[in-house]
Parts: sequence; structure tokens; C-alpha cells
Amino acid sequence: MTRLLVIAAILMAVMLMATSPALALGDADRFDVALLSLGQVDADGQSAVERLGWELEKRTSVVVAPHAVNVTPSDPTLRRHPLLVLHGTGPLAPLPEQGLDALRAHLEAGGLLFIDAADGKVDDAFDRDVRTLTRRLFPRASLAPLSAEHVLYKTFYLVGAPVGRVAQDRVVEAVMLDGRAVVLYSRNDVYGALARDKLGAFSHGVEPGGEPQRELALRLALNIAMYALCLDYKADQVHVPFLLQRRRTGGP
Amino acid sequence: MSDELTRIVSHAALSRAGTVLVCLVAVATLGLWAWSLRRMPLPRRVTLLSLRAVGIAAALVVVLQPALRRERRAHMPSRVVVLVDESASMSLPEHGRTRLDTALDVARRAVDDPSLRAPDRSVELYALPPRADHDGKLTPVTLPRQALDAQTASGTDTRLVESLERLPRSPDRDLAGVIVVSDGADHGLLGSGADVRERLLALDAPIHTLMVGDPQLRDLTIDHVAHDDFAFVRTPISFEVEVRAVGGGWQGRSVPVVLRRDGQVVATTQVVLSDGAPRKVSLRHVPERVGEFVFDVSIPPQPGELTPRNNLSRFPLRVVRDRVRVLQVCGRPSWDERFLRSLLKRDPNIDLVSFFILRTPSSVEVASTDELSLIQFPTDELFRQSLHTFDLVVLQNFDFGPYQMGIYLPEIRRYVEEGGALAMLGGELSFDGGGWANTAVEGVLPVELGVPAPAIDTHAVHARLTTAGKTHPLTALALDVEESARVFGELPALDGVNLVRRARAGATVLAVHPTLLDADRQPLPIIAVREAGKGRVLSVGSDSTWRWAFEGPAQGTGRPYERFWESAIRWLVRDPALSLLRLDLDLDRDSGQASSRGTASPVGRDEGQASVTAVGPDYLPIAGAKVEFSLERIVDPEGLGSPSVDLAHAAPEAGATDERGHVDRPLPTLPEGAYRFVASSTLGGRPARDEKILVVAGTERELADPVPRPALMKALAVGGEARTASQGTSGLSLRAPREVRVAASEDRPLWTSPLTLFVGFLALALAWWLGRRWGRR
Repeated sequence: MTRLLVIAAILMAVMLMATSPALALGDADRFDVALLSLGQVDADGQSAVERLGWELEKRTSVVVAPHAVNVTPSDPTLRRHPLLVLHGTGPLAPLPEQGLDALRAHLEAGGLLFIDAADGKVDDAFDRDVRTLTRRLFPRASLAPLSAEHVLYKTFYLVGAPVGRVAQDRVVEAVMLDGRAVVLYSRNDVYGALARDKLGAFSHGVEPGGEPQRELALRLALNIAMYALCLDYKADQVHVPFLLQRRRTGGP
Repeated sequence: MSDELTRIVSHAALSRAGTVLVCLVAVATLGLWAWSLRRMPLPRRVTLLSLRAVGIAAALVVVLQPALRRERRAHMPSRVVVLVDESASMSLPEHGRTRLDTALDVARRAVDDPSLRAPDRSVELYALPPRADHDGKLTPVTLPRQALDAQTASGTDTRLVESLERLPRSPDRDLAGVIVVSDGADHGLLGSGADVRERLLALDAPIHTLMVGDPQLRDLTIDHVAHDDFAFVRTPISFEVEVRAVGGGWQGRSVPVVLRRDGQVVATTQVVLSDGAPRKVSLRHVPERVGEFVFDVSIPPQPGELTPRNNLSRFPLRVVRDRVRVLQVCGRPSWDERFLRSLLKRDPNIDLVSFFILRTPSSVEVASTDELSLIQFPTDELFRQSLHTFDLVVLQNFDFGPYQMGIYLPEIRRYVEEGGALAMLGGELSFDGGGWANTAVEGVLPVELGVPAPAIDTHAVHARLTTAGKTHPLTALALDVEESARVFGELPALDGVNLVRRARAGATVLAVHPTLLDADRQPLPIIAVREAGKGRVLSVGSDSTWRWAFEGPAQGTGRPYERFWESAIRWLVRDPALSLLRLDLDLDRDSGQASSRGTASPVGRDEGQASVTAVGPDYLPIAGAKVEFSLERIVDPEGLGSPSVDLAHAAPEAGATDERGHVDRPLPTLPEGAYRFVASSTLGGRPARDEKILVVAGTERELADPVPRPALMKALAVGGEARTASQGTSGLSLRAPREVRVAASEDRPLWTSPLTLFVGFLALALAWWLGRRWGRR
């Protein structure tokens, strides 16, 4: 019996090595998503990020850090994590100027902040505070809907409708800086569609589209990660004819 | 020559007005007397008036003291100038002899022409200057009669009016006339159609012209080639060629026009000729390499042409990058890829083509191809068909194995050795992790591979600059060496490094691991560079330089990161400013106008300098480096241009650099043609070279339109005649000498004796006595 367990353990290890991605140059070198904490209520972020990482590694060539990290704007390790996700509901805590400066510098240096409203409500406290925050971060720019042609919708999947757990908004809003989106804002609770409970089941149902919509939400989350990593790569001229052709043949 | 002149002068101390006044008083007195005698019979009246006139005359003689002056006058010597055109157009043969032969015959006959020569008038021979002097002046040069048989027509700058204005003046010889013997192929004021009459009148002498050459001859010439001052690589450049057909018989004929680069034909077209009128054709070329090249446009010699020498126009042209074309290939999306792409895309001088492997063969497929934005990795297009179009290939954390790229690795190596640039950036898919060991590409890398898997170290590390790294432009993050090292030392740590066996021989290691050692127990190279063939290669054994941008000391501006990569790209694509050996040609030092076009002075001109600056791989000046020079002639098209010359000993002698890394050599005197001037040395154990194109200008302009122009010769003949050479100089009008001087003078007083006074008194007394007797009171 003991021998069988040892053999099983060795086989398991071989299988894991065969299927696990390469090492990268250390864990710090892997792609990660940092959950930004600004006092909001967020019960799903951790599991959603882990699910996203798992899907990223399975579906793409990206090497992903195993766990999500939580950061605040004043965190000295903020600059270790270019992709920040602000997910949740409820009002945001007032951000002091120092934290605001740190967050602004992060984004100007190349970072990306994805804001994902978990409630999916219009004009609630989260939505109001998010708009205040983006105005304070970038007074000369403002949140505006991305056009359907924006590269965000084709960084990996051809995404037609940017839906999440809900589908109340047909657009993703963004703050653009020098042609680059530094803030993305969705009110469709994209990460809510990815969240799982401790037993591995999805935490929430997806409305109104059900499981197909969950897949679309995952694709949007993957595209956002790919946008953080590749920016407008898919807008390069070399890709244009292929993508136009696929759009015409009815991709999602 | 002199003559004698006799005249009456007055010795009285009277002014001219006083003299006139005295004479008027005398005449008036005589008139009053005549009026008072009007009633007297005529015989008596005549008698009295005569006696009184004698008295008045005697009084005038006494007052004015007249004298007879005899003078001998000498004329100023004068000269006739015969100005012979010795420009290149005069070298053209017509009817068995050159135009210059005809012109020199005219000069010989003019010297002995009795209508020109006189005892005090000489005939002086001058020739047009072969070219403008250092001040841009065109002072004619003396043409000794005994040297007439040795004259050649090689002048490059016919400007007749400007040369006449610079005729040497003689303080003791008057200019009696000028005779210009030329074909009239002028490229100065006269040829431009300007009104030159006033300028020529200032010579104050008649100008006669004797034209040589047959205006009816036939010729084809490339009048002008218009092109941009420089060309961009991979961008079409047009050459607008103007072809002129002179003389009859060309109408409707089609001849080829050929464009060559460094002696190789790169474009051809046909031009349909029109008698007398210039025709324009356009040639187009897409340069594929940067550098300096000799381009020439030519027309093959045609039967019956006056000369084929004007069928060729050559010029240097620099081909530069408008934008550095970069191919970025990444094995997987990562922050390192993303920040480098962002930097490259932001740079307006870079044309970026990126290919990222977004999905591996082992990735799970949950969507159809139409739902993905993925495209096939176009390996054949990139690494076989288009590789040469890139200035820099960046292989970033990329393993070639899954993409069947093994067959393209020799292509990448050849691309580098022929002048391309390659950067291999680290990651677990790079170097040994990407299976690059023992491949064709490994041979050009600055590091040797062959480290057992996983060949990476995952501990964070601060790379340390080597001595070379402190001065090399690639890692010079500040102007000051120490400041640069400090900035580098303060950069965020790298997340890990790729392990390599050692730096390859000839590589320059710029940054090393502070603790890890390579197979030779030397600090592990992290950043290294190498020259491989004509190309350059960079290896960065880490995939986290992006942290220098995102976490860098510049608080988000990422300047050290930008400076590192911008310098790396400049070095990789051989930005001339970062060359180890730099050759500069100062082609016209005396005029203070250094030429950047590489067009040197005409044949035989003895000026110009080649200056070389040498620095080592650490970019510090190298003293004592031996620099050798060589010259290569770029062959002219068949039947055109000048004959080949032996260049074995034409190049300057080799020299050693001084403590500033400089060595200068005078440029050799070269015949007309195009040359590649090369300086080479071994710097830091590696061959280094730089080259410049040198086009020694010939007589293209003189031959551009060599047909004689009678109209211009007529316009030049101000105050004189326009003749043909066959009419000779006989009977040409010359200006009389105006300047004179008195060689001798002698005065002989007239009637100034007491007898005159007595005769006058006696005549007046007799007149008074007779008047009393004849009833006058």
C-alpha cells in the first residue's frame, strides 16, 4: 500500500510538472493582479482573481502568480503590481492626497486600474465615489465609454458585449492618457461572474444569459488582463485584415 | 611714341579772365575809334585806324608778354589683351583638332599682328583661370608665348565677364583693347542672360570676341539630375533627369538612361529625345541599406556625339533611416514585453512590428478560431522574406522550438553577420531555456550557452556595472561616469537572471551578477554586447528591466529605463554617433566650407584632410591605435567617365592616434572619379572601420552644354566686333591712348622788346598828328 502511495505520488508529481507552466524568473516575475482596497466591500475579489489566473494559464501563454495580493495606494509594494483591480460595492473611503498621488503616479508610469462595480447599480455610492476618484486622479480627463472598435475587445477574444455577472451596461468606460486606457470601469460585475465559493462552485448566478454569459464575462476579464500586458498589440496593422475578416464571419 | 606741338602762351601774371578782359578792352577801344572816324573819307579813316591798331597791338604785347612755346609730347604705352578660354569645353575635338588648338593659333597670330602691335603697344596673352581661387575670384593667368604648345583645356569654370573684370591692371600701360577667344560656353553672368553691358563698359576699352567651335555639332548631355539631399532606407527616392539633345537628328529617338549605385545598375528607363529642347525622365529607386553610396546617371555613348563625357553625372548620396524598423518577437505576454513595447511604440523614430505568442500548443481551447483574435505566427514571412527589412530583431523570452523555426536560425545568423542587429532578452524561454544552445544563433550571441536546465536563478539581484559598462554608451545612464554607476546601482532589483556558461570571446560585458560566477569563475554576465560580422548583438539575461521603468528612481518617469533602451537601440543599429572609429573628410578647409556631400575639389587640387577619431569598446579615446587608410575606385559606366588609375599608393600613410584618439592625414590628389575612402583599425581587439564617399568633381559643368554660343560672344563684344576665329584679329579697332605726358618744352618770347613799345608809341603819335591835320580835334 505504501509502495502504491509512493508511486501514485511520483506519478502525480510528474503530471504536475508536465502540465504546469514554466518557472518564469521567480514568482515575482509572474503576472499578477493586485486587488486595490479603498474601503469598499469586496467578498468575491480574491477568488475571482485566482480563477482568472487559473483560466489565464490554461487558455493563454501567460505565466500567472498563484495568489492575488491586496494593496492600498499607500502600500510601498504598490509599484510591484502594474494591474490593479478595484472590485466591490459600497462607498469608498476618502483617499488622502498622498495616496491619490501614489495611485496617479502608478497609472502614469504604466499601470492600469480596472474598476468593477459589484452591485451593478447606477448612481449608488460606489459608482458616485468611483467617478469622484477618477476626477481627482485625472482632472483633465474623464470617464468615457470605449468605442466598440477599441482594442480591449480583441486583445485575445473577440468580445462583442462586455458583460459580467449582470449585463446592464453595454460599454466599458475608460480614462485615456496618451492613447492608453489607465482606468477601465465596468458596472457589470465582471469579477463577480468568476467568483467561487470554498467548495469550488460559482458564487453567483449570471443574469440574464446564464452560463454562456459567464463565459463571456471570463473572456472580458481575460481581455482586460491581456490589454494590461499587450496594450494595443492587436491594433497593429498586421492583425487588422485577419480580425476584420473574423468580425464579418460572425465572431462573438 | 612722341610728337611736337607749338603754341603761343602768355608770360604775364594774369589769369585767363584778366587776359580776356585786357583783350576786350583793346578791341572796344579800337571799335570806339572806328565809330568816331565814320565821317572821314575812307582812305584817311583806314590810315588812322591802322596806326591806332598798331599802337593798341603794341600795348597788348607789352601787357601780355606773349611767347612761342614748343613742346614735345610722349604717349602712355598701351597694351592689347588676348584672353584665351582654356576651359574643358575647349578640349572638344572638331574637324580633327580641338577648339583650344584653334584658339592658341589665334593667340600666336595676334602677337605678331601688325594691326595690334605698335612701338608703344604690346600684345599680352592671358588664359582664363582653371578655377576660382580661394576667394572665389577668377583672375586670369598670364599665358607665356613660349608655353602655348603646352596648354591643356581643363578649366572647370568659364565665367568670361567675371574674369574680364579681374584682368590685371598695369599702372604704366593703357588698355587699348581686349580680344576674347572662346567658344562662348559661359556659366557665369553672361551665360545666365544678365545684362553685362555696364560692367563691360567699365573696362573703358573695346572688347572684341573671336569664337571658336562649330555651332552645328550634335551632342547628348545630361543637363541636370535633381534629387533629395539624402534618402530614407526602404523609401522610394526619385531622380529627375534632364537630358538635352543638341544639334539636329535626335528628334524622336529613344535612348536608355541608367541609374547605378556603387557601380551596380539599379534602375533604367528610356528617354525620347527632342531636338534642342531638354527632356525630363524620372528614375526611381528603393534603397535597402543605410550608408553612403555613389549614384550615377548615364546615357550610353551615341554615334556622332560631340563627346560622351557629358553623358555621365555622378553624385554621393547618404541613405539614412527615417525610422528604425524593429521586429519584437515575444514568447509570452509579460510585463517586460509590455513596457518595452510601450517604449518602442512611443518613439516616433521607431517602426515597430510585434509578434507575441499569446497561446501555446498546450493551451486549452474553449472557443473557435473565429472567436479569437489570434493569427498564425508568420515565421516564413518574418525570418526568410522580410528579415532584411528590419534594422533590429528583438527575441524576448522566446523559444523557437514549438514554431518549427530551426530552419530559419541560419537566416537570423546571416542577417546579423551582414549588418543586422539582434537583441536576445532573458526569461525562462530564452537562452538555454529556449534551446538556443548549439544553434546558428548562439554563434553570434555575446554569451556562450550550455548550462543545464533550468539555467535560471530566481533570486532578486542588483546587477553590477563592469569597468566597460561604466563608460559604454549602452549603460551610460548619466553623463558623468561615476554618476552613471550610481544611477545604475540604484535601479530596482531584477527578479532573476538567466545562467550562461561564459562571455564569448570578443564580447564586452557591461553588467554582471554580484555573486554568481560563470564556468570560468568570472562574474556571471547579465548584460553583454558583441560585434558579429557586420552586425551587433545584445544579450540581457533577465526579463525584468521593466522594473527600472515602473519602479525606477525617477518616480515613474522611467528615464533610466528609457535611456538604457534608447542607447541600446542606437548602439545596435550603429548610430554613427556611437561608432568606435569615425572618419571625417574636411574637403574644403581653405574656404572654411566643409562639405557634407562628399564632393571634393576638382582634379589636382591640393587641399582637404581626413580626420579619424578612435575610441575603445569602453568609449574612451585610444592612444597609439594604428589607423590604416585605403581607397577604392567606383567604376564608371563603360565608355564613360575617366580612365582607371593605380590607387596602390594613393591612400594616405597609416598613422597612430594621439592621446585624444585622433589622427589626421591630408587627402591625396585624385583624378576625377568616385572613390570609397576607408579608415580601419583594430580597437580593443576588434576590427573597426568607417568609410566615406569621395567624388572628385570633374568638368561636368563645362561639358554639360559644350555647343558654341555665338549670341553670347556677340553680347560680350561691347565696343568691339564679334568675329569667328577664322576671321583673325586684323583690323580690329583699338582705343587711342589718352594719357599723355610732356617730355620737353621751350618758350621763345615774342616782340617783348623796347622797340615794340617805341613802335606803338610812334604809331599812336603819327595817328594823332595826322588826325589834327585832317581836321580832327
